[in-house]
Amino acid sequence: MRVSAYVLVADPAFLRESILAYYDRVDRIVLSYDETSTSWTGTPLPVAECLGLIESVDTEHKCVRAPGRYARLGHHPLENDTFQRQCALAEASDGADWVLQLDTDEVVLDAARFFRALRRAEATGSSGLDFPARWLYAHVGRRCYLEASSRFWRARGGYPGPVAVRAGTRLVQARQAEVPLYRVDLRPWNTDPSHHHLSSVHETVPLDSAIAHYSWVRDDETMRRKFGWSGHTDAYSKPEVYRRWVARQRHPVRTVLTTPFRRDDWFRLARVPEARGASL
Amino acid sequence: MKATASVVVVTYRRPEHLRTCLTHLAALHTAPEQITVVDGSPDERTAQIVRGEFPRVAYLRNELGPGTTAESRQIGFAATIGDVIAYVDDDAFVEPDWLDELLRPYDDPDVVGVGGRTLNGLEGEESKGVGHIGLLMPDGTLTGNFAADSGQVIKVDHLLGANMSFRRSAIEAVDGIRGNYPGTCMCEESDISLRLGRAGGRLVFAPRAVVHHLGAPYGIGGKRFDRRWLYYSRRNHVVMLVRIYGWRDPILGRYLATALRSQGEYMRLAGNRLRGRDVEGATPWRAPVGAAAALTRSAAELCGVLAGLPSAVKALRTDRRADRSRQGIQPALTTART
Repeated sequence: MRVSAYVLVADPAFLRESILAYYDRVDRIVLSYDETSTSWTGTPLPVAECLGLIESVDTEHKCVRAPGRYARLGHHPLENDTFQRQCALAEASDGADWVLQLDTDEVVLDAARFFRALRRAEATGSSGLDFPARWLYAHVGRRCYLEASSRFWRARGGYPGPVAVRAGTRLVQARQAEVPLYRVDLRPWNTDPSHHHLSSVHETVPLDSAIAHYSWVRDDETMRRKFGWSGHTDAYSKPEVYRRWVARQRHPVRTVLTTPFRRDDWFRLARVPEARGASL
Repeated sequence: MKATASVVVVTYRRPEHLRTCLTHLAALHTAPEQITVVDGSPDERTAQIVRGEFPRVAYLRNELGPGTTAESRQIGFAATIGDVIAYVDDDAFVEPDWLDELLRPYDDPDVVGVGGRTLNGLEGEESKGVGHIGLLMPDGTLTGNFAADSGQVIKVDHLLGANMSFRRSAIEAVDGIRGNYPGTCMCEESDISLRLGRAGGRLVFAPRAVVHHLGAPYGIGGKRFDRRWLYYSRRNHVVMLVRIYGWRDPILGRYLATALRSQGEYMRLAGNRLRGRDVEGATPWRAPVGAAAALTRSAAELCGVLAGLPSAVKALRTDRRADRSRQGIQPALTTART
């Protein structure tokens, strides 16, 4: 099975850890970025810094640069997101059976299990792999994080879209594709509240084998900038979103204890295993 | 050397369907070594059709009565000689290249079982459930979707009795097809499949080996997928999991939990019907009747789960007795008496 990957080059945080986690298991990594270093919303991106970081880990010269014009300001950021991914996926599909589509702040913590699941997805005739991601909201101590959970602090998997798809797949929005998915979860029953509770689970993995998604684990300055360039900028740019994030980061215990009383935004405190090449 | 095949058709009181089934088998591009019918019907109509119209087809009797399809399969297996035993239901009609496609994956010596697509004539069934074909899920349930076109030969955990085949040596190695799965949802095909998989064999689904499944009425009466079917599907599933994985394997507990969780859907349906949301023609009496109908389906399933537990104890005892007799060891009590 020939596997390649694409990476949207925009955010240096966790980029090194994310690529190193699967680097020795893929044939090629397509680096997709806007040639003017501009985000989908028109803000500047640290592309040069990211490319420098990637160069330092690309010891076997697997990374292929694929610049393009993706800052199409007349389009919705999510449309630009989908467009850039689709271009990158098409490029990465060349000579591959499967293409990884992990964001650069998503770190595969157990590559052996991840690729075993990918082989099983292939064997069952699926065309996409849904692998659970732990959605990390804030770093609150040594390897300790505020993590999205169920209302009563149970671990939950997050599925922003398949993290691997068959080469040539057509994306419908961002990473999502309407293809038969091989679903890996943390329990035999669906743990993600945004999916139907009777959603099928093909395979389970322990919590420590899930993908660590350091979604909001940034310093203040980076977080403010990330809100500006994200595909979800409409929702994130509201001032209370940032204020809430700062407050919860400062008072993690209070955030966890008040979790059952909120309608959504449920958190628990959790430790996350260190990633290969981690610099935290 | 190419594997030889024997085809076994098990039947119970469906002589007309069997006639069509055998007519299709006679038109195969590659004829099997043997075609054998195992008949459990209480009357002679099936025997007359087979002997009168299909003289080259072997006819065997299963005298155990209704609900013994598993035993019929074992009778067929024991009486045939092919390297591969292919099973097709009496209401399933094969396409001319069915056997060629079914045998092709056996070129791989690791393959011990091959199933094919079973089309039911439902709209969209070719694409529904791709990626979920014939799997044992971590919650203990089994997926079907045997009409789906996977586009390639894929790995599965279990096969559908209407269109499945096994390597003879593999079935012999796991001591044959087990009976004790009564009713209308027998699980015996899943039992043999899962046992072969557990023994290290590889089962695959070949989407180009196609049968057209009519879904004929049961020879023992009643509708398809009625409450009796729900009862037996739960009962036999519990029995099957215990027989294969034992009482201590977590898959049993997960399945029991899943069975309970899934009852919530019936409760929701009953609630909707009571509120008049899910019943056409809002006459006052239809809402409570509709709700009660949904709840009786739930009751059938729960009774099946409960009945499965003592039945599993009994089935395990029977299996142990069969094991002992195969090994030539008489139970201590019997020895003492003699």
